[in-house]
Amino acid sequence: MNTKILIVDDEPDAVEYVKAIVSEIADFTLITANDGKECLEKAKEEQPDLIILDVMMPEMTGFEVFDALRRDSKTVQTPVIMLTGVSEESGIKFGKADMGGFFGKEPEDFIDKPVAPERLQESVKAALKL
Amino acid sequence: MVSEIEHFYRIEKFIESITNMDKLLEVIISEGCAATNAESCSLALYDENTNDLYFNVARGMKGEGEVERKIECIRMKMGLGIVGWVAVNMEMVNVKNAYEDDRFFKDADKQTGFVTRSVLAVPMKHREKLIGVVEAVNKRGQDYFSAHDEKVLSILASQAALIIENARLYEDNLRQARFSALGQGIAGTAHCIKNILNGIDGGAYILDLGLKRQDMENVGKGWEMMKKNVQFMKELVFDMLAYSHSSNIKCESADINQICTDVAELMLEKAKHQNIDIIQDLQPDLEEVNIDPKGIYRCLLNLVTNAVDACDKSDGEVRISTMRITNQELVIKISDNGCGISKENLDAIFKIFFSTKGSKGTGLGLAVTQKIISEHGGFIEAESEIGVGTMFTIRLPMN
Repeated sequence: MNTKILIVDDEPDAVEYVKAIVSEIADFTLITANDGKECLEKAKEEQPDLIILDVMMPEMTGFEVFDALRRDSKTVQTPVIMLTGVSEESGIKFGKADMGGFFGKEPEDFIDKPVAPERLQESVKAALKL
Repeated sequence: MVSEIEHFYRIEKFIESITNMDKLLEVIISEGCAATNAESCSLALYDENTNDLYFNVARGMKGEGEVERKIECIRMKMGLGIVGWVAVNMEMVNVKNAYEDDRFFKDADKQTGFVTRSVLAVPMKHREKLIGVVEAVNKRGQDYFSAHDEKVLSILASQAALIIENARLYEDNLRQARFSALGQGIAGTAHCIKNILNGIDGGAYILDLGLKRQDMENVGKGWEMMKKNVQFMKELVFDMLAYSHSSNIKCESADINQICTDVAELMLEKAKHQNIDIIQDLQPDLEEVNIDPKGIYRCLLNLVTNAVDACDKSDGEVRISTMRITNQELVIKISDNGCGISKENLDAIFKIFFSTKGSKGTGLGLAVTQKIISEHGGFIEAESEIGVGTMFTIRLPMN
């Protein structure tokens, strides 16, 4: 299918899980990346229709990656769904305050890990306007 | 640890209401509008990374019959329009009729339906660095903005520059602090557990899919994922218990060299997969010593695993060596030629919950290792150089 989704996570198991969940919606073309640098390269090259991006990654966090995506004209409009392993239960809610907040279109959604499949599927459908 | 983070979070929330950049900018704009009695005021921030201006806020106090001037989330190239000119030249501009000025960018009006007449634009500077531009448009009741307005907006602009610059620095620090807090402490472990649960959920989901689609490959893949993550969970729980118990060790006569070999053989496959050599340099005829074999095995496994993880490059080498130093002391060294540990981190690596491994790190391995070694009456220390490698040295008393 022509719709491309880029999945970014430093945990290979997490990538597989997201791939499985998303493949249940439709036969998307799925691309993956294991770190921020790879994400930025592939996002610019492949021009995905959606990026599903893990927040807690070593070296470059999801927020830093998001910032970089928004500063590049090639990826400034690409919709992004953020996956975060730290959720409201631990008393910490990520949101706009962590985004640097100055420039560009916000993420479509923030979803907690462990990922609830239906939640992610709804979010993906909304982001791709399906 | 949990309550610390809660307090930090609550304080941060309070401060956020003060340093929330959007609110801050809105206040500045409102004041600018009121102070100069303008129909509309806008603020553009300079983005160093892309070298353009980002119109964050534009506010109009819409009077009767007036069109609201809306420019939000627009990026403009430096030099474009009156605001762009001001940004490049870092000088104020006061214009009576925008349409008669060459610099004016007419397209913005076309889009919004607003008609710009008088424009007063002032650069926001902080120590000669451009922060952005404040712009007041359409002086009410007069044809143009006065010298008094120029003064007022200039003062406001310099205030704004200072506040914005401080807020930015603060937000940067705050964000960094939050991230370092999150990577550690109970929240860090909870995060690890979540990742493991995610792995188990993921495995189960993929296994189910495999069954549904009659696809044995997915069934196998899902099952392996579940098994692997259940194992991680066991190790994590073991480490947490090991750390929290007062004393864990049960000593007996054991062969250290054999333990080293056992660890090396276990790690051999994983290491070979990544082109890493595990070399054993064991002192021959080393007598048995009184130690807790399970505990020492755990320590060596932890150190060798870390060493293998550190070796990114293809000619990676991990060396395990044992030697008797004196009648009283036995030394075990584990070294690698991997990425190395920075000076700052070297002090922290044995601390509980400290990890540089992102989502893979529990922050427990070295803390537990150090605990077991000291319960044996021994010492462990680390030497390292970035880009060169690391060496851990364990000294154990022979009796």
